[in-house]
Amino acid sequence: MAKKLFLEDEHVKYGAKFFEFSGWWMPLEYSGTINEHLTVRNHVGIFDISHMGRILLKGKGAKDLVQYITTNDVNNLYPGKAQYSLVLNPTGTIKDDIIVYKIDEEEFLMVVNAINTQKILDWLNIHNKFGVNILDITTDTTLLAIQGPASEKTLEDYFNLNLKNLKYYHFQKNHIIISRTGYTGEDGFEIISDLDTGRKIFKDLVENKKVLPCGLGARNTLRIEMGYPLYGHEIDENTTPWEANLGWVVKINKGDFIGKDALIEKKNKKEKFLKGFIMLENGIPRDSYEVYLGEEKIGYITSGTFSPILKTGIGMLYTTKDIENEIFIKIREKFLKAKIEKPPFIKNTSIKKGEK
Amino acid sequence: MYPEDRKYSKDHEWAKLEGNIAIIGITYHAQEELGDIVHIDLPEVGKEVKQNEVLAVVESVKSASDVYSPLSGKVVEVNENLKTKPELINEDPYNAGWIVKLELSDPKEYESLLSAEEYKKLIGE
Repeated sequence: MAKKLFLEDEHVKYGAKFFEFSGWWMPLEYSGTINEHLTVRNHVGIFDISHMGRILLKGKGAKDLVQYITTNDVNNLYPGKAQYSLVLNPTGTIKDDIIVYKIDEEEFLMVVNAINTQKILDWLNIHNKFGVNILDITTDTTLLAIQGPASEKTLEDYFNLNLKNLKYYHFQKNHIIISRTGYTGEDGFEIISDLDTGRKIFKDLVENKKVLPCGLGARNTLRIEMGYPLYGHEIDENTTPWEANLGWVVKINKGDFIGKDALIEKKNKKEKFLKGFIMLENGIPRDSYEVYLGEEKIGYITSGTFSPILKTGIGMLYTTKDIENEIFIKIREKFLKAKIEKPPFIKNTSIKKGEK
Repeated sequence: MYPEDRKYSKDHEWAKLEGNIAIIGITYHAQEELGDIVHIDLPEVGKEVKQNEVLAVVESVKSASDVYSPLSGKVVEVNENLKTKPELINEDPYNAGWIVKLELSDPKEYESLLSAEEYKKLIGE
């Protein structure tokens, strides 16, 4: 049976339609995916993403364990800094994409995909030769994402805090963690707190600050407009970071880490190429639809949707050829024209650009 | 939400008779379930369909769904406005959001459809 969010009753109150996602019973939409999407692009919305796994690593060896298990360089972190990273198999394929937060010298937090939480916990435990205390705090906390150009002002007013100096991929920690992170392409924050505080923040923001509750439907269309990968779609255990265009997260010279040797060997051996595309004809592209170059089948869609901003179909796909051409997407026996285009499909969003 | 001047199918379409022509659309309940409709594949005018065959495909942000013909007949008109404004189905499913007009080949089939009352029971309203 699907796990339920701590705040489920709040979501019901605001009219959420639910669906099962990664083993959780999740809000899909409240007022409508397009309305929620446009509100995040133009103002501010809130997502309850408490299904994502949160794992605390404590002890002297915490840094060494994170360094050994991830591809990015933990030496680039300092307390209050977060980084996007990957966990690999020894074969160089992707077990998960994660965010690592350095809380202090002996305490790190990993935020992992919901579907992979147990897998990553097991993986950490198998490789814990460093004596680290590994704690799954997923169901003891909430994780809320407040996203949109008005998110900074909204949270400054609510918390009576100055967030202007909180840079992208940095966080403040007191009784809650507020990080300037997100997956929508807009400026935004993610807040990890205890359950009761999470409920209070969600209620106050929605009721008093008029922050629109948004579901995973809008989260998906927002991230596809930015070309961000999603585990199980663009990345999985059959995909290397090179193939997923995530080479920038791999710090090959940082020292030993799981998957390093395979990554070196596979560096110039892509079996597939991840591309963005935009439809030139009317039709909605969706996951697993076939992609053609002329009459030759050359790949499949990993994520596709209707873009509420561009008002056309967009998506990402894997091909066996490094193409830059016009392609055809097979939609219900019709072959509809599309063109390869490098994401993000939406430029000039409010995201505070900076180091990742 | 469910006007009584027409009949309903178990697959959530409605049909309204004008002589031997039936206007076909999807119900308020169906468009609610689908969410924001962003595209529709309409049939060609002249296409013959049998009752319960696929007549059109409506696509919301989240999925593509077949629209089954509640009656048998020939497509004599399609709602061209839906090509540029598919959201009319959400905004006004019973009027501006109609999908096709069918010239019926077996008008008796109409009687096999559900009344508004029966349809409401089916969807638990």
